[in-house]
Amino acid sequence: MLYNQYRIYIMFIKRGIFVIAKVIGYSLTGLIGVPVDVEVDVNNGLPAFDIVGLADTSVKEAKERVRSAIKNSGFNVPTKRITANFAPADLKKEGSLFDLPLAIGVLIATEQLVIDKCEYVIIGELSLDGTVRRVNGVLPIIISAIKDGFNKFIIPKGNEKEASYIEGATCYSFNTLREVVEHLSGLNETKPVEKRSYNIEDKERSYDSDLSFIKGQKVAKRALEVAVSGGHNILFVGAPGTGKTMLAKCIPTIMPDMTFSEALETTKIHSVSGFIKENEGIIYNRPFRSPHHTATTVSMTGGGSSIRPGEISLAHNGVLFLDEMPEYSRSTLEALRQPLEDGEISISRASSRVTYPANFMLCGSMNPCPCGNYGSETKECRCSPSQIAKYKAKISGPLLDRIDIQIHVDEVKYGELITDEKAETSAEVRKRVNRTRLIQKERFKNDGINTNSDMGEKQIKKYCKLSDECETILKNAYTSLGLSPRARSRIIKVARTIADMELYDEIKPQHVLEAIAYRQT
Amino acid sequence: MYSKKELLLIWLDSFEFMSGDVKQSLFFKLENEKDYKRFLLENKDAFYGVIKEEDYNAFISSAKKEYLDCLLSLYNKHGIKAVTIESEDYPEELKETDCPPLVLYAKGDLGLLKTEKFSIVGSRKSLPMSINTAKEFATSLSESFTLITGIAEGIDSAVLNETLSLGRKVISVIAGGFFNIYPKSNTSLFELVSIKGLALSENPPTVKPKPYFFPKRNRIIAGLGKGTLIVNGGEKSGVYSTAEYAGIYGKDIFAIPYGINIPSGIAPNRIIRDGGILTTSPEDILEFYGIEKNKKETPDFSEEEKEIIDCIKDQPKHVDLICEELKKEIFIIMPYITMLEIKGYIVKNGVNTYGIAKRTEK
Repeated sequence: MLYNQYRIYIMFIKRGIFVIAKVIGYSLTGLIGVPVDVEVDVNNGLPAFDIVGLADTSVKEAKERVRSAIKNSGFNVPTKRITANFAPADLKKEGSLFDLPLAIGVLIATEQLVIDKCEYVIIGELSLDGTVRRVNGVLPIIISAIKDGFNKFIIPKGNEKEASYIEGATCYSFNTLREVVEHLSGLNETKPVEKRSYNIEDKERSYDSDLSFIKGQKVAKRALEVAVSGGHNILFVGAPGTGKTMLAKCIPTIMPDMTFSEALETTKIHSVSGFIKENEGIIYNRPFRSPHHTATTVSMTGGGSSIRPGEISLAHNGVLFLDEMPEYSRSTLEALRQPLEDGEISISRASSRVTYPANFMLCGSMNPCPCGNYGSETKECRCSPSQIAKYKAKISGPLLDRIDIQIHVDEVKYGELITDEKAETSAEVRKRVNRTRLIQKERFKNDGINTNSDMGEKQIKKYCKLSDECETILKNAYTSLGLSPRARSRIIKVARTIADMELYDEIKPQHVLEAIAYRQT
Repeated sequence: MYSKKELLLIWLDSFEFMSGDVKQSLFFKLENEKDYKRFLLENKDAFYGVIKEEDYNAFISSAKKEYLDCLLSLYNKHGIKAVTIESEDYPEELKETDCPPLVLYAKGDLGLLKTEKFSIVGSRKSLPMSINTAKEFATSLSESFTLITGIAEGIDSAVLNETLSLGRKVISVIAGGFFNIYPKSNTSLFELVSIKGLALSENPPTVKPKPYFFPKRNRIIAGLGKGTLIVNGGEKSGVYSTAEYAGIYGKDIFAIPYGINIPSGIAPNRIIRDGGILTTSPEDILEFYGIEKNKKETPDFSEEEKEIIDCIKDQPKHVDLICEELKKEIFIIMPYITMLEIKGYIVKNGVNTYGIAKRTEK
């Protein structure tokens, strides 16, 4: 054979005429990669291809792909008894990313590929014709592997972009199995993937929505800016067709730019879930997730037999938009409470326990009543008072407590507004938001939190001192507007954000008054 | 203590299966009898078709002292007083109506029945501006009247809460028995009324409310008051029945006018068309009864507040429009709007639309 002239080293343990090959692949548990040794041995006996080591169906099916890919790349699979072992044997392995390491293992074991050393981590799926296909989860695997001391990687060409952002990794990307073999054997070495750096300014932020598209809705727009500036969750209450969804879609456009570590975290989750497009590489835009209200609790929190990230994790560093919030099942909504508090979710199953980050801004929308017309001056509401109460009670008090801003949205009739109004673009608003966020970062640098919405009672006492005048306003608002006592700290937090936006150190009466305007009525 | 006639009435009234007319006729028949049981057994034929056989048997077997004692001790235990039509406490106004309840169950201050009374009714589903109107009228009228209303959400609750918070007198007329307050969520409000005001019902405490009780109950609300104010109501509102009874009993009917496109204003507008008195402020009613007007304090507005008031003086406006007309940013306007709302000078008139709440001219 062509490749026999090369020396055998480390990975080869000669036992008579038989050779055991050992190649390193990687498996994922949550966002953490675990190294897996792929050992292949070829014995005499009845022709067979056995895979052992707690491999699931997608891994077991690899043997058929590997057999065809090897044949169609110009090598041959001997009619011998081939045994592949995935170690550690107690870790459940899944996914198609073991195709390539298995194929390389077979080629080494059958001495069709002879190499000095194999210090690569090999990831990839094979197609029957020997093409290397892209796989999910390359980014978190590379990040984990670097921590484990590996630094050379063989990855599919399709994953080259997401791998190119990682410091300390030398990645080689390939289109076909034959190219991989040629590279490993040194016949035709490929150059490593060129490094890219994360530079948000280069990338034109491209969102489909923009605040300037929305006419009128001044209250809602202002509330949105306040919410994003202070990281407050927000709930829009309004009749159908008043533009709640459109407003929500603008939230990512005014959120501050993602830092590299934020972008990396978000990309990791999306990489595991397979939501990264081939030409995308790293996610620059903050995610906007709007799961339908039929979503199950598991699809929202994450889970399943192989514990996948749910919608709340996919919305990490972005926005989770729940349209028609009362329509979601009670358990689904209640499951959001703990992640809203902690910014992450731990999913425990009999097989394993996984923690996914889930630090998102919650934006909900709902109708004021089942028919949608309650509170409107011109349309009659057809619901009974008990129906309305039942509809509102679908969102529990503890969940509402975590939503600082709750406003009513309605539409000004067409033609009522003077139309040549110059609306601000999202970019202009974002500049202000960035400034307000900086103020908060500076204030909370010793408190371990980032935004006003994260403040607990202790921080509220420390940073939100209210003057007597403000206290009087709050007290009067209780009696004359019927605010619930729960609303108090919510109003104070929002007032703090408004004061930050206006560059005031102290909370002034006008800030409290504006915050009261964004209460639930 | 109850007289013999009163005890007879209380006994008769405890049976839900008999209509008011049957009770009335039975009362007249039994009034002068000594042994009710014997009389009833002897005249059994007279009740065929009027009362079901099994009901009649239960009725006759309960004609004994133990049954009545049990009934009275139950009422006593819950602080419920049975005011029969024979009682001195029974309101004269009701006696003048066509079918006065034989027994009124009362919890609270019976003295309120002897005062000047005025009824305020409205819809369960109300816009904030209507709630505000109800409160405004309640505040003003409760100085001169004991107010009468129901116990439902919306206008009823607003009137009760406002009057009770001012420490003034209010009567709530309940459709079902006292043990079955509808809506349940207002049970605590009922407890409050029965301590600080007076709760009335024509049904024994154990009776559960049925839909047809409510229009029937409205005759008591209309009958007790000197006049009735209709705050709001939709196409099929219960306020029609109250207004109708008030008309039949010759009471004064006041109603608040609304624009023609406002669904919750259909009922009062129709009532005005049919002869109700158009009412735009509590002074209209006080003037009608020749009661001296209270002087209103002139509010002290800042420059910006005055601008906003002037802007929405003629008609309620959406916040966006206010911003445009005053050429100011939303975050400058919003604090003043909230301030005015807290002070009660303006009120939400729709979702983000604000209008004038109280008349603020000097």
